[in-house]
Amino acid sequence: MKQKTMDLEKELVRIALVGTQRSPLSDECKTGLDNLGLPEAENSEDWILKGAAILSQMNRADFKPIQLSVNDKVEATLLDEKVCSPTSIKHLYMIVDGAFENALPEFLFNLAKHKKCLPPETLPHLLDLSLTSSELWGQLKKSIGKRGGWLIHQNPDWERLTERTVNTPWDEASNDERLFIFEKTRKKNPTKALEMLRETWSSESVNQKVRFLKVLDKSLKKDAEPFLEELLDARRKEVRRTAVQLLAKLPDSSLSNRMFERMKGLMTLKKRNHKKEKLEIKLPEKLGNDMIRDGIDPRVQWFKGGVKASRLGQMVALIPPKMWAEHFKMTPEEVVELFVRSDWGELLIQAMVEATFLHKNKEWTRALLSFRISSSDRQRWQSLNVSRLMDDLPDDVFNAVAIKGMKNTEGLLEENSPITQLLKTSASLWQDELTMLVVKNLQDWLAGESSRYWNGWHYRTILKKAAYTCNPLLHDKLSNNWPEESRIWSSWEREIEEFLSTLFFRKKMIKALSIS
Amino acid sequence: MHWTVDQILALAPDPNTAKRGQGLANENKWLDIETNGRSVWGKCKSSGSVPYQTIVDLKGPAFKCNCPSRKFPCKHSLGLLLYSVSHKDNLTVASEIPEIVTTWLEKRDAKTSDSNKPKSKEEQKKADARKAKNFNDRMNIMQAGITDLQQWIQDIVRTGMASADHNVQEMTTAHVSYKSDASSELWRNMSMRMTDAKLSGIARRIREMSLIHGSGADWPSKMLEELSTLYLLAKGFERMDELPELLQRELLSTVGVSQKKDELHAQKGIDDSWMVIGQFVGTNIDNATIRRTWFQGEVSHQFALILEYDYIHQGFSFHWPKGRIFKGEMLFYPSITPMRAIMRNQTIIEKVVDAWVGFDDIEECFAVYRLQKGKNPWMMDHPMALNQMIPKNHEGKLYLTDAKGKGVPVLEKDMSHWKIMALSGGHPIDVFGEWTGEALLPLSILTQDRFIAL
Repeated sequence: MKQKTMDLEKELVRIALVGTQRSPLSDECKTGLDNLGLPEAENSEDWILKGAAILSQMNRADFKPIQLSVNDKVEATLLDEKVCSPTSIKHLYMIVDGAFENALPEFLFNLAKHKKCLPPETLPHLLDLSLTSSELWGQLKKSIGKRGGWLIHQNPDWERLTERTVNTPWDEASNDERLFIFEKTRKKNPTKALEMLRETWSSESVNQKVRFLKVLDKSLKKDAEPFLEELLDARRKEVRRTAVQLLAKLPDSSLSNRMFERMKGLMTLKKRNHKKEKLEIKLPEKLGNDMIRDGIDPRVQWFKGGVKASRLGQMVALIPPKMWAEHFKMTPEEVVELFVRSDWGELLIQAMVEATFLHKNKEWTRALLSFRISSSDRQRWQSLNVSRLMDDLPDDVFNAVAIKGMKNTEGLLEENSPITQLLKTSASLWQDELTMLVVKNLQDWLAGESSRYWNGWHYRTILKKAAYTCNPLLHDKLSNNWPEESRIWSSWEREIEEFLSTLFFRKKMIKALSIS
Repeated sequence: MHWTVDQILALAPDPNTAKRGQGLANENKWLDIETNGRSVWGKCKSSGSVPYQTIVDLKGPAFKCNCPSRKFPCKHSLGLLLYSVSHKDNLTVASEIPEIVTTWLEKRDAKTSDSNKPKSKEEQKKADARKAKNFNDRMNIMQAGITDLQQWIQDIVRTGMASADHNVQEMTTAHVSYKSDASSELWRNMSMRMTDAKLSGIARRIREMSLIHGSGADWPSKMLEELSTLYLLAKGFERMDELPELLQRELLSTVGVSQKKDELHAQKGIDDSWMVIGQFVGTNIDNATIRRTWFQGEVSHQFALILEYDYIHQGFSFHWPKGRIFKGEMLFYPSITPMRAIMRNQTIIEKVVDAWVGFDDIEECFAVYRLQKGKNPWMMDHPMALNQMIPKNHEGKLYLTDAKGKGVPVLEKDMSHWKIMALSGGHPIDVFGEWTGEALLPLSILTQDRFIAL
């Protein structure tokens, strides 16, 4: 009966699609309509429409649920997890809905700190976000609980987030799988990992070799030096250049020592009467094969001052900064001063920025940023780019540099100044002293400024950044002393209100998460 | 009524307004905050020279503010209410109520009492006669339109749906993604003819039909289904006198004769605590925002639907926070299966939704649905509360299954499938949604006494 009805339905749709003038009703169709209790109508269109209406009503009213298994079992523990409080759930909704979206990392940090779980309904959205942010996943996985772990396995996309296992043997595995196997083995058995790599190295493509070296970078140790030294003779430049970078990063590597020995031959520390010593530098005239092998490109001009100057810059950029301090027996600040006094000061400092970035040296980062931010000779250092050092800055370095910079600032923070750039870009947490200095600076400027047309966009950006990086417990203190009588107050009121309400929200959010 | 911060924030139209409202719950932002017990008012400093005058009627609550915001309630109203709650013991009691406050409160009181004001017999007689004449005139025009409609549908079936106009632009209506094109003359012309014939309900459905053509592999069957449903409607209209009165009302409402709210106010409704158990917000063919808010009476267990349209995108005049409960009188539009309603004298209460009455047997639920559909063939989306359901993936689709393993398909909306899976964790949950005739559009979930809107 059901099949007959479906056939009739299909036939009616077919006829209506092409039209009754091209396809009249068949005898079978007429019988079907008659069986629905519809006697032949005044015309076939009327008959078809009435029949279709009845079938549609029948379909809607006669919905049949499907039969599925009743035997699935799920661990009872999934229901026992400690989800955060209703207030925290509301806070999370406000974050996810976009009102305070930048507060998500702080929410997750505090959630994990107090050993609470995310409300289940937010898991799909957050897991989706994690697919494109390993940093977020790193925080999220601490608070998804057993339920989240169960959910991940229901969706193949999310399963990618979980710990991967590859059981394929090394010599049969795909390129991606071998990268994964190498990374895992390097963590457990570094020597074996290098042996495996040597085994298949000659048959790898250039791209795959570079990818392996980038994986090796994550677990770089002295034991990799012989292998990397061999790669200095590799045929392809991409491989040689990557090997040079890794060797330069290795503490006390032969490459760094060789490079510093060459450098010693080019520099003289000249003592001067009543003046501080001066570093005199000779540019490298000739470039031997050994230097080219160690990664100095004879033709490129990565640094200003011509080809020879650029070679000097490349040499300095490959030397670990601490070697200079050890050699001259000076602090990083003193070495920076020494370099600045040199005739090649700009080049040396810029190359030192590159070396510091490569070696992630905290003391040198601090010395170079402090120098750039506090330097009084703006003209000379205008083109010195330190922005690479501002990424991933440790909190203590950021605060030390920024506080020093703010104390040296009189009046308006200039839009393109290094201190403004630092405050705008760094993700570090602000110490209270820095927050108070920046807010006081803004309040003083607002009180004295009268031009509505100058918008101070960079202050707005700094304020937005500070709203999520400064201590929310300062909310009450920071709510005072705003110059509401200022002529430009109305142009700023909304930003200030937003800043304070974000602090207030964070304060409440952290408190709610801390209540058991 | 004692208001908590959470209750007030639940009234905010969006998280940003809630956030700004919190920022304004600060003494420094206000001038002259005063109260008379029933209401609170004050002037909020603005960026212009004149502050905004904000009034909150605590009975309700209701808000009035002369700021230019299209959000309702605006941040100033929320800020004032939040401030008044946190400083209720320190608020200045007004010695004299400003005129603007008195006028507004009087208007509000008058609005609720107007509908109950008795008319004289003569006035009533005249009004009834005028109404009957207008109705007859309208019925004649509509009857001509219905004849036209039948002929037009028959013509389409005779010449073939394939040769009807088609379209390209994508848009989303209540449940389905369609394609659309403004140049679709066939549908537009007929829709205009139906509007002229005062059949606005049919006119809208014809505009929506323009989107079906070529919208997917099964468009011919969807198109024939819609054409035949309109045809059935037209046939029903022709035989209206033979139908029971309530079905006549339903039919008139479906073709576009809406009942005046004043008339609804004249009837007695159902007093109950009405739980807001689900809400759908979307856009219709005319680009108006459509909001369907579903309620269930705590005592009566009756479902009710408040259907609202916002044609000029200025925001809805009242906010129904999902998962909250309003005490009030629900006035139902006359129908053989009463569902659509308006609420009178509503007051939000502190309690939140933690349970509803629903079916834990899917077949029983559909038996009731069939009964309703049998009574009212023009019944549209039907509310369904399914309790103790386990969500299961089957052949790439999500189903809600009962203890016997019977399953109903679930429509996807904003990751709702995964939210349902996450909330369930493989265990039974309660789901409320709209049955579209083919699948359930999930709107909310109850699990471990928590209400979660999807």
